[in-house]
Amino acid sequence: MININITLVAFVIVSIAYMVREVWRPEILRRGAVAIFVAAFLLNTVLVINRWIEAGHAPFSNLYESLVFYAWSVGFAYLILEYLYGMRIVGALAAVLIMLLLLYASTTDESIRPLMPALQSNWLTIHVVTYFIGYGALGISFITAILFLLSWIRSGKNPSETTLGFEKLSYKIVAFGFPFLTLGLVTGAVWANKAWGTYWSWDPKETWSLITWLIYLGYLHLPLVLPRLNIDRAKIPLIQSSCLVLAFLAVIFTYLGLAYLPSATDSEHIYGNK
Amino acid sequence: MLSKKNVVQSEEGLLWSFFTSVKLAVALIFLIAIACGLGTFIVQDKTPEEYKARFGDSLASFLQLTQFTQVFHSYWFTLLLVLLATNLVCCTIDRWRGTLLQLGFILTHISIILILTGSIIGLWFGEKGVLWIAEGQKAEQFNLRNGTPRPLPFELHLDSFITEKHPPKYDLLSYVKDQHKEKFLYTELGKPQPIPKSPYVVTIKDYIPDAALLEEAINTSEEAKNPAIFVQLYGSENVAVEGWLVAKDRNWYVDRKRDLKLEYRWVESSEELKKVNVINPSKPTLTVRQKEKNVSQEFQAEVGRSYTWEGYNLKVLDFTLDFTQRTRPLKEQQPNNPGIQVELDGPQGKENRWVFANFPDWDEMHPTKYKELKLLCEIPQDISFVSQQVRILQGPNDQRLLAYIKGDKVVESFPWELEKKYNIGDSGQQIKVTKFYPSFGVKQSVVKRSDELKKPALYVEIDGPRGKITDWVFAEAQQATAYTDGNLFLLYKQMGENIKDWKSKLRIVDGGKTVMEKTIEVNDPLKYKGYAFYQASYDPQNEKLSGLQVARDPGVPLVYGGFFSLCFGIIFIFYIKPLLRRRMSASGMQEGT
Repeated sequence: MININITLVAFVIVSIAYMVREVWRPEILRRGAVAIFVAAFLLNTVLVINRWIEAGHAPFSNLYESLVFYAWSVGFAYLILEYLYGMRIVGALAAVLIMLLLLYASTTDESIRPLMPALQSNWLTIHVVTYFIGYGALGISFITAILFLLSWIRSGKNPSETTLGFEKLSYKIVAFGFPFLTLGLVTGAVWANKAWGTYWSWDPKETWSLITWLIYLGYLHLPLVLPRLNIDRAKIPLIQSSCLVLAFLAVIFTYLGLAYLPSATDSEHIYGNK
Repeated sequence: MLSKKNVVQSEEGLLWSFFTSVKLAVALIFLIAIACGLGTFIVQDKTPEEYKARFGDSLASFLQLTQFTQVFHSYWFTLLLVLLATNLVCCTIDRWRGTLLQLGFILTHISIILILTGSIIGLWFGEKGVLWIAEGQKAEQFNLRNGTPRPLPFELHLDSFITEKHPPKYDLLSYVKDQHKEKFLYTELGKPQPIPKSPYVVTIKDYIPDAALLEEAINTSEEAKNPAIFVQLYGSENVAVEGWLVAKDRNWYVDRKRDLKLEYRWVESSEELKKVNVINPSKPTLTVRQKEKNVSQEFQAEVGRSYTWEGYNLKVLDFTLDFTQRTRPLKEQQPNNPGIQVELDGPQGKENRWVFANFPDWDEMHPTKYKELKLLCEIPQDISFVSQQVRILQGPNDQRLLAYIKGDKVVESFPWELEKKYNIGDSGQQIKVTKFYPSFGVKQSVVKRSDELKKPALYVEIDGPRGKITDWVFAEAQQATAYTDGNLFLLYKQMGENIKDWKSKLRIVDGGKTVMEKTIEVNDPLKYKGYAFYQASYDPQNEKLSGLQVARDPGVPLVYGGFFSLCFGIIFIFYIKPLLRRRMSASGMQEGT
């Protein structure tokens, strides 16, 4: 029986494998680390599918289920990006992020509850899957942005080619994730219109998902604006990476923080804070 | 240096370059994001009073003046959107090249304009509201969000409304008081479950899906610690009423229909046994208190009696067991709201006042002449105005006496025996004492009524600092089950929503004819003539009342067009365009943007 703890341990092993690869570069781990990642990801996949069968509905209905699925999404996005761009050390941090998500999930209430009527829709699956793949990719862009900022601080004012590489990678990852984010936003609006006859009602969750979308939209336009402004060229990647960190904080807030808003009580979306 | 020509050009050019700049676009994007954030950190669209209570007078009026309390309907937010739309239009025109690679750019920028236009059309020409409709009824109008009714151009009939429910699911919840921590426990049998960071361990020992609590009278000892008898009252041949009379607890029974009171007394000596002849029925009393002098006096509240006290004359005018039924004979009244009417006479003249036993403050809430006088009355619980009494007495050494009292006189009295029927005077009724328990007690036991999941119960063992206890925990119990130290509580209840779906069978009658029928449910509305009816909710108090959302939004096609264009445009930009570019550069083509 595959449970969350086994998956958690698997991702601990993955992060160790990536670290070892980065430091000592043994030949066996050159491709082996990714293979271990794939194995751990498969465990996570089984976890999601098991839950889906057990609950009888798409497993995104409470915090536990959504955290496990988000962990899966980060893994999924990472593997695609690894295939497309080759991510090196980023994989270790992606594994750590997944580990943290699973660790958090293991502390939440995992009991299966019936789905409220509004959630019994195929739109739930489409909406959540697109959003979480988007969030998964954006989580990885957060990692690359952090890596950029850290190596920027270490290298002083003369960033190396690797450092700048992280910035370029961040942009590519956002370019991969942003269409999913947009699909998630739009399918959410279409679903709301189908369920309640209103595609937009400025509900806190809707508003915050728009805010995150706007920040990433702004980020994607930055390369068109920053070079024309009267600022130090060398600072441009710094601004862009900072923007990404801010953007992902907005994602986390949209996902987990809304229960703390004064306007949260009227919202349809917010997970109970048990 | 600028030439003169350049200066003239910049009059228009400045405005154009302002609206075509990406700088403006990015600034607007971030400004709108910040505005949206404000709209969630400040609670929106509440009453001015609520804002005053939350933020204080000056901050509240500032927030309202700047429309921070209704960001999404504010003039400045609309202005931001208008600026964004203008910026988008200008940017699109300015950068238009008409190449294939620009497809994504064009589609995404036009999509936002489409969505904004669609939403404005919806706002100006659409209507949205709610409609509560009962099963079997029809509706010809609905209410907008602000409550104004709007006519429908047809009739909407609700033929039936069904609420489908999931089978109930019960959860065992633990609560540790000094930590304010709740935790769900597994309802698995036999597995000890420690409650984290607490000294308690809970083990579920047994489970019954449909449990009932049985209460059984038992005798715990042969000593007369709590004597009780089981009495049967016979109408003719059959038992009409039966039950326990407990000497030191509920020792009386009043039967208004039969005009009879039964009483069971335990006496300690033969002297007391003889006192059966003494009639001392419980009487209502009236207590008067002079607030200034702080003196009070108790009086018998017998109708017609007068008293003189502290310079006042008091007269009891009326007595009732139920104020609303006071015109009926006393013995027909139920003791729902007993009261006494008193006439007060003093320096300021006469005054009539009602005093109620259950509402002692009633007279203070109503204007009176003699505010310094506080009146209270006490009506004994077993007060009765029946004319017949059966008094059953019993004492040590097995002394027994049964007395029949009619009016205020003892008609007969004799020793009684178990299992013997005695006539109650010539009323045609008989009485029999069938059981005597010297130490009456109640034994509770839990039994299984059926195998269906109806009222589940768990047999739980709690181990903690004060040792192990076991107890039954019933689903939906009024009170939580507590551990001996009063710090751990268990609650077994149905959690969360168990509604599976609501279905409304709707029929549209237009021009006297049924033109459409559809059973709608959540996520599956009915649409007719531009109106859409959505299953939104139901009334928990009235399961036959269906809550519908009504929407007519002619802007939706435009908005959806915008959505489609946005999604396709973005996919083009980030997924298709890079591929095209690669292919083009591979084949040596030049591109425009």
